Amino acid sequence: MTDQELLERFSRILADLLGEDHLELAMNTRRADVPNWDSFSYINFIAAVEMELGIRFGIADVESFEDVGAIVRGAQRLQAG
Amino acid sequence: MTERSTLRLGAEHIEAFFQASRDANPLHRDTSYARRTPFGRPVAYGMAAVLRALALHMPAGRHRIAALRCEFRKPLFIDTDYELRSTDDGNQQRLRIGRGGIDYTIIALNTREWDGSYAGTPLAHLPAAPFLPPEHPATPTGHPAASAPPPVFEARLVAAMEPLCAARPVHYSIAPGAWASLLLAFDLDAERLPAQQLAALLWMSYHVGMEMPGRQALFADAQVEFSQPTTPAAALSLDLQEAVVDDRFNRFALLATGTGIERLRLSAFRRPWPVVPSLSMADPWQGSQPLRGQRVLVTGAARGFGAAMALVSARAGAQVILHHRGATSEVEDIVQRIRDIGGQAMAVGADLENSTAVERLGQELQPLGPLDFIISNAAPAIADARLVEQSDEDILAFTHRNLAITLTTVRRLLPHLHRGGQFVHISTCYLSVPVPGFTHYLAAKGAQEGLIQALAQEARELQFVIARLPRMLTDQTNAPFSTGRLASPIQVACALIAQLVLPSQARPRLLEIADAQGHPG
Repeated sequence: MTDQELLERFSRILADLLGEDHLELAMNTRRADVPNWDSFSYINFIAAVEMELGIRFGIADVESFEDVGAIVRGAQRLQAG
Repeated sequence: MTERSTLRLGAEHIEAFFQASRDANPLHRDTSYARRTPFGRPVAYGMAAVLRALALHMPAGRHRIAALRCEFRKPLFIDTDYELRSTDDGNQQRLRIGRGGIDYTIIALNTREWDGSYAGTPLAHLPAAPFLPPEHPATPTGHPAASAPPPVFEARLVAAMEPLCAARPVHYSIAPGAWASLLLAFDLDAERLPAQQLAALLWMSYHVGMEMPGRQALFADAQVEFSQPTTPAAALSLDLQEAVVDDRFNRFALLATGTGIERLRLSAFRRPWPVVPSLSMADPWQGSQPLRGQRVLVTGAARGFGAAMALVSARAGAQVILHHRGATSEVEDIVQRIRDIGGQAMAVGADLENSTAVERLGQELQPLGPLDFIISNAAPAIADARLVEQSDEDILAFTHRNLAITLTTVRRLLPHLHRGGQFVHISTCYLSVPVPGFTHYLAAKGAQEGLIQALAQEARELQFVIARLPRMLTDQTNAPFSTGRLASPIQVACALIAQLVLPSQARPRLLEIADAQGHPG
């Protein structure tokens, strides 16, 4: 899946989780940039991404993703592998 | 349209909820237990907040609740005012509880019109069709169609989770005699929230607090889709169909169906055990004891970094005086562990915000002789909150408490520090690398550091050290997940003592201790 496709999916998932009508994530978006995207929402987001894409991140990856781009690249690695 | 009101839970709500639900999770009612959690004080029942919000925004007219989804993001505390915002797009109502536009709890409601008495209505008069929220198609871009209501219910569990236990039946009822008191305390209308639906909401709280593996779990979210109540009684039978756990995040989830319940889904985070500093690591000084013969006072030594600092100081050969504020059993445990390794330790109690109490503490220290180190570590619990979530009074009160502790410590205890002794102010690396959510904390820490730096110019016969420490794994940071990158308090204490025992000319007055990864915090 391309960066843009994943960004669109991630944006929709996070908007659903945070109860927002619309939300647009970019590769350099960090959690602190999105109101209400706290650590619990982050775990719920990761779980929802895993369910939608049929992948499973390692805990070290989940704890080290610095921005949305890192999650995109992590998802692409798992999809390719 | 958005309606705004205030939501506040008092002790009467907590007690009524406890009596009715039997959810005895100590996080909600036991102050000493709650102090050892990241919340620092008792947390209101999440479902109690939901009930209160529902009481204030019950569906109007002949509408009743068909499906409900609650997300619990941040804890709510008793006797605290929260904003309650209600929006209704005709298909779905959302209730948001929070502060400063930050949502702590979100409740999504689907309602259905019903033309009859709901509570206690004979089965024959109840609608045959289940109250299913309409599904909606996704648009090509993946966004929900504007005209379709968002789904309340997510039926699937996280695929990555592992099965936890076999399916089993559950029977639950509201405690006899407590139902009416609950309705009264929350101002709930029994006609609009039938007893069986109320029982389902209470059971979810009970199950998360009392039954989920690891007990005393934390709600993440709860979703329930109601069908016809089968009885006017406040009782229900459930079939727990699937329960799974994701060990990576200590996250549990389960699915159930039951009487009056089409589907029910719960997820929660298992709370980790309290953090207990361990001295099992190798002695970094290999028995050389760089603090031998030194007398060290550590304030706030019952838990967290203070306890670690006391243990490591004792391992380094110091006679340690552990200050605490009412945490007698916890500090006595640390004292005993120091004695077990052949060290010398004693505990002293005082409220450092009370200058008279600190004066008495000073008198208690007098016979022991002058101190070589004061490790000024005591601080109030820190709640993660952005500026918009706090009132000016909140921030001023928090800053006042921190500064009061530092002021009483320097005014009343510095005279007990011998000439050339070190006053070590424990600060935070967040002052070097700020992060969101700690405006009040950094305002307080900045004020304390300014006080110490200025005082160092006035009391030149003493040595003043400011130690900015990294984020550590303590009771305050002991979340169910993502604790792997937190520094060990014992290792940070070792690193700090290694700096304090250097010759004064070789030691900077502002110390920054990095975590294991080299990050400041």
